[in-house]
Amino acid sequence: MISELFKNREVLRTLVAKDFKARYKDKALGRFWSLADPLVMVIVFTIVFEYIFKTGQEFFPLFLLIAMTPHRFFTNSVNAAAQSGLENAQLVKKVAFPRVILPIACVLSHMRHFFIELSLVLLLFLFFPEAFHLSLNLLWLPVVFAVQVVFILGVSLMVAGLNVRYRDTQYMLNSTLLILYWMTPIFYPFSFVPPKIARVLEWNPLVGVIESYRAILLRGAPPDAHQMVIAAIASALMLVIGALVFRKYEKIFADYL
Amino acid sequence: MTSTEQNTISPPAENQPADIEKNTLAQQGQIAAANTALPPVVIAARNVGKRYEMHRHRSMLLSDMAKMAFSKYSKDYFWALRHIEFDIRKGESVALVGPNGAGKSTLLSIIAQTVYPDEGNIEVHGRVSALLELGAGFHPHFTGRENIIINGIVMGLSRQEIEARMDDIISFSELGKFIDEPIQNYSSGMLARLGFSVAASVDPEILIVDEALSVGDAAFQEKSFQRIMDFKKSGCTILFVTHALGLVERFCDKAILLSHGQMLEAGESTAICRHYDERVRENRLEAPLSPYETEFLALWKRFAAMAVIFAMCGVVMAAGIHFVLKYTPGMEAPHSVKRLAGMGK
Repeated sequence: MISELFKNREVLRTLVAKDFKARYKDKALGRFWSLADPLVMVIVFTIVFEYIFKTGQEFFPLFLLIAMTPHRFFTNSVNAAAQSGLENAQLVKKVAFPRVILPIACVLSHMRHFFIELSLVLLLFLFFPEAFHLSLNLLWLPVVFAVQVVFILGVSLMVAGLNVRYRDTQYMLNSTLLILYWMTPIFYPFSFVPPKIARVLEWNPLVGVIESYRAILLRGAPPDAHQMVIAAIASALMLVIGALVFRKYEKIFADYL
Repeated sequence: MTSTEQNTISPPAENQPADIEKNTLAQQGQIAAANTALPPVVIAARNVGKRYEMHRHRSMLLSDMAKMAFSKYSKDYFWALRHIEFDIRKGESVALVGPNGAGKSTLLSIIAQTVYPDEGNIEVHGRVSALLELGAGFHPHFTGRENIIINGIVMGLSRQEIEARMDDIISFSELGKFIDEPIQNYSSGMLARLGFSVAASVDPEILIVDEALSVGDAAFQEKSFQRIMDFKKSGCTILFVTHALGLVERFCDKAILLSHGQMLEAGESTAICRHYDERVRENRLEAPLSPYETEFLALWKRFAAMAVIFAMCGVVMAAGIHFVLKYTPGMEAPHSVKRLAGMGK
C-alpha cells in the first residue's frame, strides 16, 4: 500500500491541489471562506457560553478555537473521505490507480485547511498575549499532531471503503459525528466529565489530542501521559481497522459506483 | 464451448480450470524454446470470470436478514463473464465482437484493471490507456489545460512529460484559444476531442478503444483513426470493441467472439466476423451454460440470522410477559416503568 502510494505521489499531489483549487474556484472571497465558518462559530459560541451561560472559562474564545480547529479537521476529512469514492466515480471507473489515494487526498487537502485555520488561533493569541506559554513543551505539538492524523486517516479509510458498498454509512456517519461532537471536550474542559464516564470517553483519541493541545498552548504543561497513551493506542487501532476495511472494499469500487 | 470451431489466439491445451496453469506454463516454455521470434504475451487471461450480485445496490436490511434466514437461497449472481482464456501478444490488434450484453465492456474494464475478476486471473504488462468514456474524470470548473494536466497525471505521466506534450495535445484537439476556458463552457464535441487527445497522448503500450472512433465530426474521426493506426504501426497492442464489423476486418488481425459472457470463438478477424454473421443469421448465439447461478446459503449464516431474529422476539416476549405478570391493576407500577413514564425520581 505504501510503496504504491509513493509511486503515485504525483497523482496524489494533483488530486489534493485539484480539490483545494476547486473549492475556491469562482468565489470572490476565495480562501477567506475557509476562515469564515470558524470565525462565526467562535463569535456565536463565545456570546452564548460567556455571556448567557457565564461559564467563566478563562480566554474562552482561545479555549474554544484550539479545540474546534482540530475537530473541524477531523469532521471535514471524514465527511469528504466518505464521499470521495462517489465524487470521483468517473475516474475510478476509467483509470486504474490505487484507490487509497482518494481518501488520503481528502485528509491532506483538509490538513491544508487546518493549517490555514491555525492562522486564526495565532490571531487570537495576539488578542490574548498573556494566554500564551512559551516552553519546551511546545515540542510535544508534532507528536500530538501525528496521533491526530493517524486517527483521522484511520476513520477516513474506513468510511471511504464502507460508503461505496453501503451508502447507509453516510447517514450513520452524520449521527455518529454529532454524538462525537458533544462527547469531545470542545465547549467544556475534560475535567468536568465525571470520572466514570471519562474512563469510557477518553478512548476517543480526539479527547487526548484536544486536551493535549490545550495543556501545551494554554498552560505550558506537557500532555497528560495517561490520556495521550490511550489516544495513541486507539488511533493506531483505528488505522489498522480502517486499512483492513478499505482493503476489503477497494477491489469492488468500480462495481458499485 | 464447441470445441470443433474453437480457434483461440493461443489455444490453451485443455479447458479444465485445474489444469490450465500447468498447461499454459508448459506451453509457454515450449513456445519460448521453439520459436523465439514470437513477440511476448502482454495480456494473459486465465479462466477469467466476473459475477455481479443481482439487486446489488440494496444494502443488507434487517428484512433481508429475515428473508435470508427463511429462504432457500441467499444471493443471485449473474456471471457477466466466465471461463475467458486468451493470450494477446505485443503488437496485435484484437477486436472484441458480440451482441449487446456479451460482456465486452466488462472484459475491457478488467483489462484496464479498474474492475477485478472474481475468478481466475489476468496479467497485463505495459502502460494501458483506455479510450473509454472519453473525458470522464474531467472537472467542469477547470480549464482545458488544467484538465489535461490532471488527466495526464492520473493516467501515469509525470508533470514534465505532460507539459512537454501540451502543445501536441492542444493542436490535435483543435481547441485553439478555448483551451484556457473552463470546460463547462465546451460543446460535447469539444469535450470528446479533448478527451481523445489526452488519452491518445500517453504513449500507451496497450490501447483500449471502446466505440471511441465515433468522436467528433468526420474530419476528426479520420484523424483519430489515423492516430490509432500510427499506434498500431509503432507496435502498440490494441483492443477494440465495436459493432461495425467492417471496421474490425479493416483494422484488426484477430478477433474474439463473446456471447452471454462466454468466449465462443477466437481467431483471425475475417473468419470470426464471418462466423459471427452466420451465427446471427442462424440464431446460434445461445450461451453454452446458464449465466445465472444461485448459491446455497452457508448453513451457519442461516442459523445465525435465525438466532438473531428469535433472540429479538424472545426479548420482546419476555419483557411483555414480565410486564403482564408484574403489573396487575391496582398494583404499584414497577420502578423501571415509572421511570420510563417520567413519574419516578
